[in-house]
Amino acid sequence: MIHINWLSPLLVLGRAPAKRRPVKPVNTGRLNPVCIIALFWLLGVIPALAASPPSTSPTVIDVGIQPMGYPVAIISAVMERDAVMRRDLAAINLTVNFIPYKKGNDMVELVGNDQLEAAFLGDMPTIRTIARTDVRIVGLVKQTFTSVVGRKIVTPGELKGKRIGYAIGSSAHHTLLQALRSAGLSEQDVQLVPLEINEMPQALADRRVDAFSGWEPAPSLARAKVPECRILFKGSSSDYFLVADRFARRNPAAAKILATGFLRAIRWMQGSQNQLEQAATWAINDSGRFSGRASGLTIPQATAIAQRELLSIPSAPVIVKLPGESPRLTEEFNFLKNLGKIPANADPGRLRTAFDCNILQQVIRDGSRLRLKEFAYQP
Amino acid sequence: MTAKPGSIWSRTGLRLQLLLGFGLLSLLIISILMGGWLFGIPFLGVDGFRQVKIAEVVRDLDYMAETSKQLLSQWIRERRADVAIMATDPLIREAVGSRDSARGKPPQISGHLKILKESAAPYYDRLLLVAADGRLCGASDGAAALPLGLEAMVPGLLSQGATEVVCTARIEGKAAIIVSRQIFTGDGTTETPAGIIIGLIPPTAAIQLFQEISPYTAESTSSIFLTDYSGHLLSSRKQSPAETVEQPLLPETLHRQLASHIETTLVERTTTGRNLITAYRTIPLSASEGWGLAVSLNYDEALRPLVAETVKTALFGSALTLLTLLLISLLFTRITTPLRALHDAVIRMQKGDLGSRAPLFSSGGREIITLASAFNEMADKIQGWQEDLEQQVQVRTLELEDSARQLKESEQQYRSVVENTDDLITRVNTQGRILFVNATAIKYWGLQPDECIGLTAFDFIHPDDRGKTMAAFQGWLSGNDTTLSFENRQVATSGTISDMLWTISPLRTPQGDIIEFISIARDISSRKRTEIQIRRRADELVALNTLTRQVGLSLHQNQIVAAALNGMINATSADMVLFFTRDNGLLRLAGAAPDSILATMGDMSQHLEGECLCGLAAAQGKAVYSDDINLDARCTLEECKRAGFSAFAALPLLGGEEVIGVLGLASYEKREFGVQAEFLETLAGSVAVGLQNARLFDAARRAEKEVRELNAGLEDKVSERTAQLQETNAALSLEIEQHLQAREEISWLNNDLLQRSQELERANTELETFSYSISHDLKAPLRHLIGFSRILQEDFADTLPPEAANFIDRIDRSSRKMVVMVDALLELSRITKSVLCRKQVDLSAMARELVTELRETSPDREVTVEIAEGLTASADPILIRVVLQNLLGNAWKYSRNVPHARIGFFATEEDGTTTYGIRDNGTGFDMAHTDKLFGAFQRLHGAEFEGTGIGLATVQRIIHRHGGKVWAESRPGAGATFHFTLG
Repeated sequence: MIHINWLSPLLVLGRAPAKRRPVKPVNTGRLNPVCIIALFWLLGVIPALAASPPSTSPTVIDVGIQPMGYPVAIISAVMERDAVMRRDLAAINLTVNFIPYKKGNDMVELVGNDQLEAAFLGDMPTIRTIARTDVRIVGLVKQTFTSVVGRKIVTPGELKGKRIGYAIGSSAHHTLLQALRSAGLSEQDVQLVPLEINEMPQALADRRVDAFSGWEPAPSLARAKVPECRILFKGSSSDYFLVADRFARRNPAAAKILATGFLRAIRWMQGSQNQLEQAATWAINDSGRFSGRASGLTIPQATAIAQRELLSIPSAPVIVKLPGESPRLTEEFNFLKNLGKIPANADPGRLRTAFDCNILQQVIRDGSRLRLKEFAYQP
Repeated sequence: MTAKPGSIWSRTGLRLQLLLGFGLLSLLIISILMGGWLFGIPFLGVDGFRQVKIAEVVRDLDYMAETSKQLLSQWIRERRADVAIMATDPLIREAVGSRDSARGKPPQISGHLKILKESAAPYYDRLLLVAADGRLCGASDGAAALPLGLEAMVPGLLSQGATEVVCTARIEGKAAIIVSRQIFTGDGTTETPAGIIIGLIPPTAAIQLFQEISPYTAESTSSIFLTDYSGHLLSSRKQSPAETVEQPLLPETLHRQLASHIETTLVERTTTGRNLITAYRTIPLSASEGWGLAVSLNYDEALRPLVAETVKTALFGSALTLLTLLLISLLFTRITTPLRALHDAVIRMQKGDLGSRAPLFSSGGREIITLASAFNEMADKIQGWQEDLEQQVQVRTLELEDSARQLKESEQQYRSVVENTDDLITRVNTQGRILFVNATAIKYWGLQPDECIGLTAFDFIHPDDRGKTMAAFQGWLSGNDTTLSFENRQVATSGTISDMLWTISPLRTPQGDIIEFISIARDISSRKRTEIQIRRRADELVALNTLTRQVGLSLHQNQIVAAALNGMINATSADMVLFFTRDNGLLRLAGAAPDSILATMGDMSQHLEGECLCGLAAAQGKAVYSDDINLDARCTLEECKRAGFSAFAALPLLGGEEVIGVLGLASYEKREFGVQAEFLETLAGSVAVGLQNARLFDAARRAEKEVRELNAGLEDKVSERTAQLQETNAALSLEIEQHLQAREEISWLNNDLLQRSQELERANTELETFSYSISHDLKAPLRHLIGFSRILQEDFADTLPPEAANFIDRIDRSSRKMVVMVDALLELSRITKSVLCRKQVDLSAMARELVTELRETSPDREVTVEIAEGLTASADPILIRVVLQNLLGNAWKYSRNVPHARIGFFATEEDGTTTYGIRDNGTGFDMAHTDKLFGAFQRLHGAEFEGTGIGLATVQRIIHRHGGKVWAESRPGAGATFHFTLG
């Protein structure tokens, strides 16, 4: 969704980063007074503005990021500081705003409602987003495993009857479902305890849960806190950078600039270890600001995660399409549909459409024009 | 817990029970310990051997899988490095950079590729160099065209951004690992590839890596499976100690899991029924490509050590249990042997062997030794008690025999009492049926014993009393009284009716239910008759009082007759009463009741004395009774017989010794008037007194009438009449005295018979009133005489001749004297009827007081008075004062003409009787007149000594009331001495 500049005051009131998440509507039975005032202001001002000449203020592109997830946080931290990208966007009268979210599931409806133009999402939110709206997968952000960590639990079959922490709707939720299915169990056989991802290690240490399903760095932190815990299940998981299809069609140049910034950030991190550590430092700081407390992750841990889960993957972030291959999310799509997590009439063909984009190929092809190899990051 | 007799526990020995109990307990404890060791204690967080072993298997398997994954990843990285290095090879770059590379130097580049392949042997199957247009530039095997299956992949491998690709594909029908790298030949500003170098590697080359991995254990066989992205098997290898290399088939279960790209360890059951434990790993190759790796073990084989350990544990536990049982058995044998010995000793004692003793085992422990010792002591005591008991039994047996004999005697006595008692004793059940009767009842009812049983107690109750008896019985049953007492009448079979007093008591069960009644009946007929007699006696007394009062209130004969007739009818229930007065040998009928019967009887106006029953009573002066006049020869007149009377009583009315009349009582019914003789004669006495009083009253009236005639006539007549009046008064006084004496006797009789009869006291009071009334009435005409005499003296003194005036003066003085005499007479009467109240009286002090009073009346006299000290007596203080006053007064009076008068008061005692005496030296008297000395109005001296003639009569009356006597000794001029005693 592209916002015109004169709506900025309303947007500031109604969708500040922490407020712009109508993911879980709260039915309080009455309207927020601020919203009522804003509505009157809007009804009164819009007709007048409609008659006024168009503004020259830059249009904002909202990009949803996850400061608590690595290496996504590192990539987004670098992109936020990409002066080249900002200049290129400014050249076409655009600006970019990176909005932090705790988990990708919070962004599914925002992308579907054009409130976010781009987002970094895990595989399960990506599938849910694809199931409800048209998006384009730009590239791979992470290829890793989401882990089920348990205290004194050896096999998934021993999860029966246990209290398990999970983030509903996340890729870790998908992994938990996989783990239960592998042992012939279902969600009804365990006690599900909704938790934020950053709460899970401490919850396991406090014995509030017997196990949890989470992504890095939660499993690493849990193993550091609770020596007797072990990873009893891993499910492969991938994060993607995607842009809304309507945004890309409406403003392909802007989409390319975003994709260039995305690829540039990865190339910059691949350039040297120092640059990667700088990026990790930015990400850790951003995570701390977002969560209000230190992430507990060290720079070496963060860089190792980035290396292992993204930078060492051949061709990453480009998703190479080869004959005979089906999108790796297809199996997950069917799995979630069978579980009722996505509508039964969702079309798996939308996956192929989402992955059949070649934005990064175009970027690479026009790398010179898009200044792909020009790096300028402002701390 | 109490074992039921005959239960298995009651038949099982203590040793076996303890052995079983402790054996089971040991088995349970050892099982728990073994189970805990084997399976852990989950709620305590303690892992058992099984969990540890499984974790160990999983950990080892994970290690194998992870090692395999790392080896494979490293191998891939090496292959990527191989190809990356080849991509920078100048010849390679030149080959793809030249426009005619495909045309000009294929053989050379292919040879170069062959050299490169061999240097990187043995992994690559072949190396291929492909130009940017997709044409093959060279192949290590010299092939001129791309192998089948690879052509379609080349565009993707050449696409922008696909810098390097590792994937799998089926090349020429076989699975192959493809490692490609784009080749860039420019200045680095462009990212368009000039070509690609592709290495084709057979999957078996990858799987051979695992030869370096040791098998899981020396005994077990593990299988390693490598699959592509879709879970299709690329290669597999079975690792075994025998190093037999074969490619096992991928189980379907593992295929499904490998297609899910997971990393975990699972225990699964294959379609062939094998249990496999498999560690899964995923090896990412690119954004859309990855391999699956599975390391699988036969789960049962892996856990075989666990089974062996379990068996060993079970064997150890069993051995431990047996050992424990053996030790427990030995221990219990040691413990139970003394117990058994004690048990045997107890059993022997139970069977009568009182000499049985328990041996003392040192192994038995302190408690059992103490128990055995205690038992032995107890046995000693029991044996001693047994001997004592036998002696006591003998003694007791004798006592019991004696008691039984006594009991039998007691029972016989009781039965004798029951059978011989005068009471009727019966036992009846709750239906009222007689269960037992004693001999008295049998005799009373006139039945045989077996005839009584079964009858009801109500069968013998008088029909008129049955309702009352039943009501009393029902009321008692509904109440709370323990016993029931009531009276009714019983009818014996002989028809005899008796009054019975019943006392009924229930016999109850311990729960309080009545089962029988015991009734005791006593014949109270005689008591009833006594009560009737007493009641009749009381009625008679009431009637007597009534009659006495009615007669006493009557002053005229007619009234007396009427009152007597009415009173006798009421008091005796006679059918007819005849009242005869005696007059000159005739019995004249003064009245009869009822008149209706008299009218039918003919002439009953008079009888001759001695004629018929009434005449006999008048002649004999005693009552005559006839139970049946028709059979009585004494009844000579026929009137009563004709009137239908049967019984008759003739009661004489005695005026002193004289018969003044007869009362005749007649009854139609046969009746024994004689049984009421005392009562009837007392009634007749009362009537006689009334009749006598009436006659006296008539005489007084006639005297009054004559006085009045004298007043109007001559002095002689007055004198004559006065003398007659004096005689009449004397007679009247005598009669009054007799009357009072009779009243006293009646009163005594009443007090004796009816001590609490208020009616009689009232009658006495009225009688006293009557006496006073008589005296008062006598004084009234005297006052008239005095009054009229004084009128004559005062109003007609001038007209009366001196002689008449003298007569009138004499009448006046005589009348005044008579008043004094009547007053004295009343005083005498008062003293006589006053209640005697004896006390201890100091006679000496009393005499001194009286003498002092006498001295005050004649202070000029010189009289020597000698009063003995300490004279006391038990007497009525008031009356004894009257005695001393009269005697000292007489001594004082009759010694006044003596110059040296002397008076003495003394006492003598003889034979225990104290005799008091008062003497003087006065005029004395002639002992020839001593019989008149104590008569009323009798005087031995003339007018020189004043007096009424009542004093000594009063003294005598008082002394008599005290039960004493009084007499006098004197000579004329020699003074007199009066003696008296007090009873």
